[in-house]
Amino acid sequence: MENAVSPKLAENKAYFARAFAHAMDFMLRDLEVGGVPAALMALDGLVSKQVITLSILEPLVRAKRLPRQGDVLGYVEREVLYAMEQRRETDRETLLTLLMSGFAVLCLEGCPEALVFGVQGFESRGPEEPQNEVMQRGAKDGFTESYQNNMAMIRRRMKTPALKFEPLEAGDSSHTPLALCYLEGTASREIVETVRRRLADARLDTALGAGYLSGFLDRRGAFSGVGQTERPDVVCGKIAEGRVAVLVEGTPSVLLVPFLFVENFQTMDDYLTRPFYAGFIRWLKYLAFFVSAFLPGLYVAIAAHHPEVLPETLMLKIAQEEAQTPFPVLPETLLLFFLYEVLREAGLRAPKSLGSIVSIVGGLVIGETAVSAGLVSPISLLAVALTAVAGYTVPRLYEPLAVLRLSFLLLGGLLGVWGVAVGFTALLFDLCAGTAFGVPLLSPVSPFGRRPVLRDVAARESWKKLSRRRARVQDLPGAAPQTQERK
Amino acid sequence: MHAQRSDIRTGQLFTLLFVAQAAPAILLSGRSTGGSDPLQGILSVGLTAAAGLVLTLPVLLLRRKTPALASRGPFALLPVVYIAGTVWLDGAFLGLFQVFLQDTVNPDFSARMTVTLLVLCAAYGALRGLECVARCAGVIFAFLLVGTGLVLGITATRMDPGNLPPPFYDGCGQTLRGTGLFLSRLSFLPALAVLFPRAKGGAARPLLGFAGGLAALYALILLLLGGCLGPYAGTQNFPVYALATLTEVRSMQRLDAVFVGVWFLVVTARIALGLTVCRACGQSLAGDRGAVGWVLGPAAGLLLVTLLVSEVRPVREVLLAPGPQLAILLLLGAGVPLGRLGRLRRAERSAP
Repeated sequence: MENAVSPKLAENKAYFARAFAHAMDFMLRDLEVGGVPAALMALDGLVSKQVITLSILEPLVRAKRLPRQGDVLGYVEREVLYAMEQRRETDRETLLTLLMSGFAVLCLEGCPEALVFGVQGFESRGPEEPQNEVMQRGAKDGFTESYQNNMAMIRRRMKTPALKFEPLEAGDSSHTPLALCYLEGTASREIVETVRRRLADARLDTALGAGYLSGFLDRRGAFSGVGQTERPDVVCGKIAEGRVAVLVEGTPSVLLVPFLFVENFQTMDDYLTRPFYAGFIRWLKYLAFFVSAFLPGLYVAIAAHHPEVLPETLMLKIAQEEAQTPFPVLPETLLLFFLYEVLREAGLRAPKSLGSIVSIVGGLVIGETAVSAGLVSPISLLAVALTAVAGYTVPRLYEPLAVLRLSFLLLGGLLGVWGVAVGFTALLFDLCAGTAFGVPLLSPVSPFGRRPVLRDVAARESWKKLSRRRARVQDLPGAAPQTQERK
Repeated sequence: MHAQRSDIRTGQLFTLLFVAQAAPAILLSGRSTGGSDPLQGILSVGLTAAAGLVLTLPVLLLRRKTPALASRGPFALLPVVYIAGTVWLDGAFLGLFQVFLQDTVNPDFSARMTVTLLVLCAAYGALRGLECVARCAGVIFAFLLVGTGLVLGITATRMDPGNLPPPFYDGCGQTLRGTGLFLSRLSFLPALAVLFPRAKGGAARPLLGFAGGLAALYALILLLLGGCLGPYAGTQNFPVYALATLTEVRSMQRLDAVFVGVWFLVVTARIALGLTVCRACGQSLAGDRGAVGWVLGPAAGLLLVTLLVSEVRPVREVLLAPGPQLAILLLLGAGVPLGRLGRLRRAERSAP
């Protein structure tokens, strides 16, 4: 085997030196262990030098004479070292990957195997409150870029041996470590197997974030069947319902599958407040979603083609305003939308020091001046502003909503309310056709399930009732996969 | 046709059929009820519901014997007849719907373009499969209940029993004529014959709910037409739309655009069901290959029929004639299943 560890230490050293030529972070320390020449290798910045010095180098240097025959490496493992995480490895390619993952490698003269130690010690950001999922009452810690820290955050909340973290890898060049997280006995075996297979089949050169992988797990269509969260409590809640989480090294977002449409409207706060208020907020979000998706399209459709629907006073008001602006209502609303999206993107990407300038220029200069100059009518501006604000009540759906509202705007402008109706039906077809890992995307609304709808969709039942019966995603109406116990 | 895997429940199928069969309600007029007496119209609706239940019996009995509707021999080319029948019936309906849009609603944009978009949308649904169309129909059913309930509920406040003519003032001929006309619009029968083998679960309750609900919807519309519009209904080509224009919620005086908008959802579901039937028939001929062709081909045919019905008056008279429509419905919805059932019985008797 060309890549097998050689019994000759010099050959092994030459192999690694060649592999890491011109890599100044490669560290190679020659030493003698009980009279046997050895080499310890690691990559600077990925390992804890203190741990290496105290737990590996010191015991090795102080080791008594090693036996000349028999399992020398086994003797070192058992009698000399104190490392918690250590194992043997024979393949040099694997050793390279382990070195780049923060392991230290020890090669001994005359041994056709190497010892590897988990001595990772790179700097990482501590848990902070997630910026994209702010909660009123929920926990304030969020995931970090280290997937090991993220695993610990989940484990601290789910103290059960049924919680599994399966190691996987993605990216031919990046070798990004992943962890498949689920509750054994709760998650469907079919779903776990499908996620495992799709991730294994993912052909990527580099996997630098969770978003790289979600495409391999997701369906085609406007709405995603893969969710992302930065909150450990959300992951724990989801895996308790039979879902599977994918932790990706280097990203604070964890993927959740299967992720249904109704989950876009659920937040951790819903389960921490009283049920009647949670139900009220839930309906407010449904309404906000419809406002955000359809208001601009319906506004343009009604103003341009069906003004008779409006109360007379409002109809006259719109007609007066429109008479004073140079553009018809459709191009005017399109222009406002374009400006809003540009300002939003600029606000998102601009350096923080310039953020306030973008707000002033956008909100005051463009908004105020465009109206006072008579370029756009205040009612159109109000419709666009209301749409934008409503969209932020369901931030997970912002991306599809941005495209949908533009489509409905065009349909409404060209074909009136009927165009919006046909577009809505197409959207319904897309939603109804979608399945996420065998579970219908629109379940339990369609196919309809009275119990799950009353439990956590139309309302949020009290914890007394919620805790009486375990709800698993694979038990929802229309779901194909089975739980492990039922098989 | 070959046996299909079960992918929806009978409740879902009958919800889809309900939505599809409710679609012509917006086009109800004196011509489609056989006269202007709403009470006789309601009686016709009741008789049609009863007759419709009887006509579904062969399909129900056939499923007990075999999940397949037709297989070889003289039945091998039946799928083509089903496709042609569906294109004819749905195209004729859509053509009339386009006439309604052009002549009555009279929008300031092209009704033909809107209908073309509707058919494309329905084709997209049919391509996504029966399960998708059935689930979608569940949501549209909810919109239909809310939209129709709102409009009919508001107009019910304007109901004046004095507007209703005396019952049977003109004999009971309208009841029979109306029953015949309503029967000729029972387009759910061929769809049921083709798709029923793909649904699982008991049929009795969904079927009774379907027939009862549909009869109640039509009866309510007829009653409101007579009670709110009175003799004025007889002067309108599409009086249901005239009824919707009466809707008034405080300062919002006209909700007819919204009502027609809701009906667009219903019509799209109906056309999607028709194209799904075509796809199922195509698959029984050629297997899983060419699903796109089995949907887009009939969709193109449907648009052609729509164009002919809406633009060429003599063709409209022929394609919308109730006699031939009733004949094809009876043949595809009850005759073919009955023939198949008879053959199975004979085969059973002759078996040793």
